[in-house]
Amino acid sequence: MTRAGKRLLVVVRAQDPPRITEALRAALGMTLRGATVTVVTDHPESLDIGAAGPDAGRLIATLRSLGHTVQVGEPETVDALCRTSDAVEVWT
Amino acid sequence: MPTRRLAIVLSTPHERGDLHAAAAIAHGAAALGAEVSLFAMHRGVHACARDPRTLSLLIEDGCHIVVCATGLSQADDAALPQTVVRGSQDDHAAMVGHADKVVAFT
Repeated sequence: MTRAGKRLLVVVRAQDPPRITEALRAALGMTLRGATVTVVTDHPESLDIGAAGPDAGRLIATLRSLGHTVQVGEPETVDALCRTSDAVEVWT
Repeated sequence: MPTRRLAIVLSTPHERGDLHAAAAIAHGAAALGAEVSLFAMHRGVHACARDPRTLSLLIEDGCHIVVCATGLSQADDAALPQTVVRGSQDDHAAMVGHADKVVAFT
């Protein structure tokens, strides 16, 4: 049985588009069993469609349409999210 | 005492050597009675395919291993032990959702 309601965090530290896309795909995948997923990066260009590519853009849009958060955050924000999450994946 | 569940996520390339670190953690946790699962995706799938011996030892130690079948090449599929499950992001979600602890090599 899955423990729904888990808070999962994906920190995107990668800067190449294929890796960013995989991080977002992993984030979307982790929503499949009821978890609340937050994606955060301190590199604004990682979430910029022009830089990260259309696949990343679609994944971001899908995550947001499902009610999950995808945001740019300062290091302090990332630290705070890490502390309040049940699991963290840092994608480099 | 309830069984502890450890999930390991691997997505880094072979050159990083993270599969060996993951395996060490997995064996150690299994020795302590934990249920261990490993999900490999992206470059982690090829990293697993390059080291089927490590995977076989993990499976012998009771570890449940799933690789994301998205983008799984025929060569990697042929190299992976048949006891490794070809799965999906749903398996990733299930493993992380069930686990008490998650270690991510991502």
